[in-house]
Amino acid sequence: MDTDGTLIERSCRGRPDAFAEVVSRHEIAVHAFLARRAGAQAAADLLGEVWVRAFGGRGGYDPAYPDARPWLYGIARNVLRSHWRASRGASHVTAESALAEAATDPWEAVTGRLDSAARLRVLAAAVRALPAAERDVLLLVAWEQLTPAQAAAVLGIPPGTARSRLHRARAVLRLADPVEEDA
Amino acid sequence: MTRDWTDLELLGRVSAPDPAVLEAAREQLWAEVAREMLSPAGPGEVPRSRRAVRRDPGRPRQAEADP
Repeated sequence: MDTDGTLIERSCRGRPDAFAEVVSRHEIAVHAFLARRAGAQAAADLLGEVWVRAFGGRGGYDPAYPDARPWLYGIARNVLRSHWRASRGASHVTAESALAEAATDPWEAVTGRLDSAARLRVLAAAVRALPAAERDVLLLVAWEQLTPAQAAAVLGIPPGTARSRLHRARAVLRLADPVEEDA
Repeated sequence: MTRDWTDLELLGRVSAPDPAVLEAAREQLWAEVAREMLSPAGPGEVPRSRRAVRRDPGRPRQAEADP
């Protein structure tokens, strides 16, 4: 079976339709990435934008990387940022960095989908309280099943930094869970 | 697998998308594929003007630049 890298390279060399196979492989995962962070309706609205951006940017993809999923998550992440930025009204924001921080916070949506279990509420609160940089790595690994190195690729940080952030985040979560702490 | 990890996965659980959602998104892609095939640059070539404005990352090691 051709790797994603091979298909993307082929799509750049006279067979743009080959990109559709890459989409077919990852559409469920990318939709879930969007839905976890912005809800099902926004995911439905934004999925096509991810494909359009990915197709437009495929010329720079390094075909040596067989799995395009981290690359696609990186694009999806920025599509989400654009979405949140637009929906919150950029005119009200003066600090670009503060906006970016707020825009990448998925917990408003997540809290609404929590069940009534107190344990999950505690966990959600603990995750929400994490620094955004640590939370991003944690959720890419826990939710998207990426390795720390792949999460680093999504975020554009060194793999060692991703591992450190993941370690810190997990330590905080263990402290937030009395049972886990005692175990 | 520790419990915090299992619970985190629970927090991230989402429903499978309606097939129509996936199809609608694919149609947006196919519109771009068709546009490229019909463009003067020729099939398979990303027009330089579009490369210049697209800021998505080429390499998985790099996150996409902010739009």
